[in-house]
Amino acid sequence: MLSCKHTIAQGTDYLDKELGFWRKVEMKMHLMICVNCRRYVKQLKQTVIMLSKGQFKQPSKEQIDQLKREYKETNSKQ
Amino acid sequence: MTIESLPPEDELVERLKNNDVQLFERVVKAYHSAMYGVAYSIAGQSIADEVVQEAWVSAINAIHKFEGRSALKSWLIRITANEAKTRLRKESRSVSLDAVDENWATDTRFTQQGHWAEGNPEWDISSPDDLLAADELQDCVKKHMVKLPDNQQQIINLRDVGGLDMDTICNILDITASNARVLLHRARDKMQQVVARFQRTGEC
Repeated sequence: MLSCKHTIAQGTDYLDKELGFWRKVEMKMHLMICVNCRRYVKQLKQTVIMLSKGQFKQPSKEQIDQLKREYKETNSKQ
Repeated sequence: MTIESLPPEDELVERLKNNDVQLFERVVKAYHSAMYGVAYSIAGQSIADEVVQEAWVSAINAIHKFEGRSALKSWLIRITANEAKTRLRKESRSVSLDAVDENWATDTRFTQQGHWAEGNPEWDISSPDDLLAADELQDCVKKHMVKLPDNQQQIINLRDVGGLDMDTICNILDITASNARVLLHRARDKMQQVVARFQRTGEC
């Protein structure tokens, strides 16, 4: 049986469906009986979704205006 | 402005090719953050803004040639990564103390037998939307993202924030797939711990 420490070390491969057949079976068996690791995998997934949707650095108004000017100028030439 | 509010990919690209300035602004607002993360992690903070600005200009010039073989966002992220790589890293960041926690043998979450030392409690804020709405948590995540070791920061920005596939990332960073997976897991695990600590203690 995998230890909890080894189980969570495979969390990313499990979520990204990169585990081989037997490692996946082993992992699923552990998750069935271990609430802490089950929570961990769920939390890891929530963290990844949060990162994919997060807006950590919005552009300033000046940056947007400058890019809009660039966009307009380039398009008018084409 | 969220990515969900943009039109479907085909329409999006077509309208961008046809001088839709309003839509262009929405695209900038939707993808700038992910591009900045990639630029920051590869080229460093001091030139990240410049790199992103240059990446946008390259994209504007090339949009008419864009054939939609990948998603627009992936295309923009690749342009940003390449732009960042061509620039010399001007700023050397200090070594993150938090990186020390990663040591496999001394992970305090587990006993010597590899069991959870104190269990792993449920999160009070659990849905991704609620996580995103918690401003203090988002600030905390942002703060810790930039403390990750460089290679982990690069890979989590390219993969989870930027949405690129692993093959493309391995090409950009010139690393093996197995190395990439280990680095990605370390980065994700660290971010899970950041959120978990925030949920448990309310502190960043």
